[in-house]
Amino acid sequence: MSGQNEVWSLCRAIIRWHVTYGLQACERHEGLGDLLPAYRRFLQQYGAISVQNERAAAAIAREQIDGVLAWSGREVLPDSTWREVDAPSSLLQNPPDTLIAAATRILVLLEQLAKTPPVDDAPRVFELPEGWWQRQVPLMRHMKRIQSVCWDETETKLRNDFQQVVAGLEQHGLGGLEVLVAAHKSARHSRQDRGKEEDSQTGFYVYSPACFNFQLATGERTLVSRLVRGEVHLGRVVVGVSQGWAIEQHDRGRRDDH
Amino acid sequence: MTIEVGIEIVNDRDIEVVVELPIGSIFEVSVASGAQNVATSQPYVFTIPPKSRLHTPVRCVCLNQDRSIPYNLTGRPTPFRYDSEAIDQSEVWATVGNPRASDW
Repeated sequence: MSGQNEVWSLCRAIIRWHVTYGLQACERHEGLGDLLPAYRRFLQQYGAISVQNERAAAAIAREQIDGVLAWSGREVLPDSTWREVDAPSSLLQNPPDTLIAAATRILVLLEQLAKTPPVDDAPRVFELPEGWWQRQVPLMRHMKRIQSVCWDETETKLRNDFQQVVAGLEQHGLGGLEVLVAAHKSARHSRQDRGKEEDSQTGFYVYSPACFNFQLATGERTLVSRLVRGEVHLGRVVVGVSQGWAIEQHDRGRRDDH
Repeated sequence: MTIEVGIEIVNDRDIEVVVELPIGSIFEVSVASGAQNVATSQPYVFTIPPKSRLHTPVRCVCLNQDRSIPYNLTGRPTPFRYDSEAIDQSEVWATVGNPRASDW
């Protein structure tokens, strides 16, 4: 979500300012001598990490507002900061100008995020219905948006989500995961062609099979149902065979029999 | 675009088995192959005698316009079928490339 990305960028901006300018500025301030050891400890603790959790973000904001960093609250953040911390567009449109404004915005955003359940925790878009191989069960269309920093992360999440649904099918020689991932990739390419790129700001869409017009290929005598019931099993399945493949396989089988 | 999938179905039992492949039955290849997945362009019914195996090609259309044409790739049937009474390549590509989250 963009709110969360804003929080991480704001944290990076505050830390970056303190790491780059902080010690010199602190030493220039009168009466801050006693604060220096604690300030150095803060820089050691936070200077080298990439904040990616909300508790750490809140701690940084509170230190900036009324803790060990408070002396610097009115310091101005350079314009170049936002590019350096990879700020999302929502932040670039209206960046805070001072450190205390950045910290205040972090706390406001965290409060908003606490009220919004993460989309990744939303139920899976797709579950195989109970006894799906025994009857015709229509699949429904569902969609959700997940938060990822990039497509590769989205694909990993997709695979994890769908893998849990189709995990039991492999023992019957059935797939399902690859076609669903490939369909999402195709949809993404189509959106890119139309100039509707997804990114970490908008989130990435996850669709149930029905959204691609996929339904279950089940029925009393269908290959899928017979495979799951163990009434037949599969030998080789080759996608993209030349004409004459069946004859070659038949001949090979006869040679093997002899 | 027509792609043929070669399937080997094994009947180890002592009775004849009739196996149906509904129109639109989807076969997949690995995403890493970069090739298209496919769906049968017509329904099939196979009768497999006891203790025998059937090698048969089935005609398919491709599902993913942005991917390459599959050739001689190991595949798997999936529990899914492309839901249509008549399979048209252009329509399939357009539908898979533009998923709809609602019926309206």
